Amino acid sequence: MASEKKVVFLRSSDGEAFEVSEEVISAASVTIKGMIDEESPSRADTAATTTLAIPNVTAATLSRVLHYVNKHFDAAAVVGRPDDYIFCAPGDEHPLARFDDDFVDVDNDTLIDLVHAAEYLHIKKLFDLTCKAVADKLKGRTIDQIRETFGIVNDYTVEEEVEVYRENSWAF
Amino acid sequence: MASLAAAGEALPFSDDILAEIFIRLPTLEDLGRACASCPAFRRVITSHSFLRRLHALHPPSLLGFLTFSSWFHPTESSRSSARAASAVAEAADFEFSFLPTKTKGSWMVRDALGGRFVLDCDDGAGSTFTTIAVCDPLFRRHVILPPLPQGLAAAVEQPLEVDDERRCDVFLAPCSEEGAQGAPQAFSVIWMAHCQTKLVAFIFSSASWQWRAIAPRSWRDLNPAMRRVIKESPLQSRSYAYGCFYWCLSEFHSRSKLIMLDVGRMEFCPVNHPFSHRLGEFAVVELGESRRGMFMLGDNTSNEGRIVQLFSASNQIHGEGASQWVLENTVRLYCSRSFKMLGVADGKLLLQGASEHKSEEKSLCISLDFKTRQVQGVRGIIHSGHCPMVVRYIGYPPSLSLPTI
Repeated sequence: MASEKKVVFLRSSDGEAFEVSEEVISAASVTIKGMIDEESPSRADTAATTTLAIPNVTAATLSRVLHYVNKHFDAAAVVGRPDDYIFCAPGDEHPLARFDDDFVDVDNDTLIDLVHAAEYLHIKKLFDLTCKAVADKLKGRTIDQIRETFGIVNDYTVEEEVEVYRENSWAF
Repeated sequence: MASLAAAGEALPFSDDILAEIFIRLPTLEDLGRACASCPAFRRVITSHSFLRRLHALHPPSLLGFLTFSSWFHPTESSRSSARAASAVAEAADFEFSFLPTKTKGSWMVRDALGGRFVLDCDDGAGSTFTTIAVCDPLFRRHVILPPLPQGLAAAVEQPLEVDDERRCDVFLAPCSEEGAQGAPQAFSVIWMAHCQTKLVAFIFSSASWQWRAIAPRSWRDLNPAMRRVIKESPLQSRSYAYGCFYWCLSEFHSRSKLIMLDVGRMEFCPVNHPFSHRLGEFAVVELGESRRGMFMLGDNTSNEGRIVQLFSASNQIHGEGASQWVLENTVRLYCSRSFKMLGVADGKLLLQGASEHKSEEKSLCISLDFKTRQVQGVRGIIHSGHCPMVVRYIGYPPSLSLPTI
């Protein structure tokens, strides 16, 4: 029993269940690790697998998150497959850099969902990655472009805007 | 590009997530533009907790100099710093008009550190025990320090002039890293009298709101080559690195010593310097990884211009053992005029060249990078004729600044 790999099921807000290694998801997500720890006493004697409800994350987002989690937190996958970017020189700072770049190269809605999912599930690396991706959409942009990106209707009053522009004119 | 939220909808992120996104923006300009885009962004970015995180990630920049006459000279070293510098010039009150008006005497800028300034006023009651104020010219705030207690002040005997108007030296000491994190508005002020026979100093800490005495040392004790009683202040070229201030101590130019004030241990002691006799104009600097560096301006002028030497030492330079300074590098300035060291900012040593012609409007200022040894011009920072008593303003653009007191 001990050598067998335990799995858990995560059920998305829209009812789809995903299987994931308990060890991997516990290493990745503080939130899910907490849920599993809470469940453990009651399932210590049973062989039944646990299903955890993840009410804040849709199936589309959850499947992306698990793809990320399996790449980043599954030690077996990292060591065992010499077929792609995982196979990199020792000491390489960030072997999954290309995977990460592709992972956040998505439309804005998907990116927003990923930020929220990473925050809710408390997956620090993914939260860092997705926040950085949003920041990259803002850097070097003009005020109008920033507003367009965030869908901001300019709700400064004329007086406020004059003041705020004057205050920050050093930046544009 | 499609927007991150449909027009008119609420922002897709909470303030906490927005802060996590903004902290990952690479430049201060990106943050300035985000501030101007919408009130919610501005609220997040200008919150004190966010600005403290931001300041921990982005070191402050040299934005200008304040000269003896309290005139602010913004830097023009790069496009972005020039804009931030002129924003500071516009927003701050470098005339310190927010200080209480004195019927006698006038306020004089003595030192600055990270946007915080220390001024004193002699109240017409003598130039030794002045009224000391610590100010933030950007936020127009000030505090007046309590006077030195009688018991401490009694140690001051026959103080010498440190400049034309004062018989005391007043400057700010950086707070230790741990202390600064707990209380970002904490500061320390050091008050020093160069007496005829000894060096007397006190340190004021904003945390305890008290003056404490640093053990006085006789000049002769610090430099045996000196006479017991002196008539002119023997300390020159103050610099600071890793919790210690350094001065050149010499009565005659030929017999100089390097002395140090360890702020944490509150004691003065002599330190080795790389030369057997003469110590020219120098600055001790932080080279990183606890390594102290010492820049030394050569006196000799050749056809190829002046020389700046950089020595380095590990942290162990206390005591009088064999010299532990090692010559790291020699940089030629390719300019024959004489230079004065203005201090350190952004990992660079700043030097001001003496004017060669009366018609020169701005003096030549250059910066020397510690790491790359690259020499660069710093355009238009100090107008000619304003060389004495320059104080650096190192900080952030006003809209991203935090009050320092």
